Amino acid sequence: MSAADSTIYLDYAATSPLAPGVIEAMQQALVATDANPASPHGPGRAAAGLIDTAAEEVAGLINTQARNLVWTSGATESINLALKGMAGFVGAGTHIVSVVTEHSATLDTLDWLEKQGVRVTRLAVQGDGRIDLDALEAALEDDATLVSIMHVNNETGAIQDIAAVGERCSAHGVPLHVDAAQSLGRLPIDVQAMNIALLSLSAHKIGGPKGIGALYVRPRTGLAAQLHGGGQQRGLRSGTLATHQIAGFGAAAAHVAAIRDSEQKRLAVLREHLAEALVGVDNVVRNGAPAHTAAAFLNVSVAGVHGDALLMGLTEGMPALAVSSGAACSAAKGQSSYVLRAMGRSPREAGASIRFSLGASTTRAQIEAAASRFIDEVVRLRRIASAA
Amino acid sequence: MTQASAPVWQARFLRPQHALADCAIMQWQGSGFADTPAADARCHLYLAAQAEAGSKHIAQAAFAVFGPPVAIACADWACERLQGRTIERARSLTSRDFEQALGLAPAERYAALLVLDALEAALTDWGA
Repeated sequence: MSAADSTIYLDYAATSPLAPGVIEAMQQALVATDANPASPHGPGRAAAGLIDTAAEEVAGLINTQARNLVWTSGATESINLALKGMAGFVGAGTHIVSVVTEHSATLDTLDWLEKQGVRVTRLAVQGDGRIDLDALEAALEDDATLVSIMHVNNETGAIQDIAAVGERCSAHGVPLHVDAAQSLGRLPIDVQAMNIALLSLSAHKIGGPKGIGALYVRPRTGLAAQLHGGGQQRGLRSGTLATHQIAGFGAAAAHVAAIRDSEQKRLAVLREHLAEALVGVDNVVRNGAPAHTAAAFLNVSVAGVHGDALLMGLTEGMPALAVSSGAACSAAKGQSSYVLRAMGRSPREAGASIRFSLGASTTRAQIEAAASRFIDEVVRLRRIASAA
Repeated sequence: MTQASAPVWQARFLRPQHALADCAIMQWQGSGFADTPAADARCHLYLAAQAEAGSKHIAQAAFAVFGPPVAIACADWACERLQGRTIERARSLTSRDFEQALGLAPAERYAALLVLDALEAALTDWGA
């Protein structure tokens, strides 16, 4: 990260610094292989070769073949293509089943589709942030045509049981779209074993560049294109491919494939160390169930402090913590984290919540410094608020 | 690397000098409360008179705030400005003074009004 050196970066769920090898891969594509990859001549074929190599790396992370990937500008575009594309292909009678705690890329797209006449069912979540599979079963029996669900929640790290969801979708013959923006590189993903028809991916969450993503499309899955033009990518997403972005994505995928298992174990230990320190403070509670939370995530709610004050105190104090809140708005306005409220937290609890997300450069010393800083800030703000 | 500049009032939020919890004074001649539910903000202001009997000068002011950072900053600034003021001059403080001194954005002006309401209540409590 290029921000102030003293900042402790714990916002890897927002974006991850570039992984080793990414800059070199992108530079090679930009400098030495900069022809149009759709061109039939030698330089074009060289650029296409870089894309093929990257596609193999990304496809390997999810157990599919490279030809099943459609490059996009990121997970948001992938999700839009999956949802609008499926609705466009099915036409009348489309019924999409999703979840109330999805990322806004999904929720806003569903809102838009609903205005176009598409039927949408939004499943509730339980206290641990996971859906009730019986509720999913009921929705599937109600003429569902697509299920769309995120693998790992971006605020809490709650892991949905995608294998179980996929099994039920498969039994009903309903395609499953998974938003894997937060799970790629963190959890095993096997699109075949999990019965996934569509999978949205983002490069920058795993140390790749921003502005590139992919949508896995299972063969023979009907999808209407949303971008029209030169007919690239089998007509599903027209536009000249950004070779350097894709090469960077591929390099990041190769790196994360090599370190994923050991790295997630390391992060789980650090995360628990942080959690133990924070929940030792009065009225600081952990959101979500550790057993069903991705290793990189810790989300806590704090009573007795205002959410905006806590976030600014942490991010602007010394040392600064680069952390996030899903609830940077006033709890009283009902704009606190919809994810945490769906999990049963009160508006004020949801309003004063902080997400820590750990990653490659996170050390034990940083975790201890962050815990100490967090505790000091909570104590400071509670003192300022005492008698108020 | 250029960064978006921090609000003028940010330093006061991070390092307030007039929080009640940091104040040694135990006897306050007046205290007042106000809240802004829409911002989930509550403010208490405390006023202490100068030692001379019958003095109507504010020797010290302190605050307690639960609320957004800008509310804490406004309360701290007000306490600093109130020190040494007469009652009349304390009452002359306006939201415009806050806006100019702290560079409040339009959406942050409520914080100045919150503190002014608490000040008025404190002055009334003092019997001023």
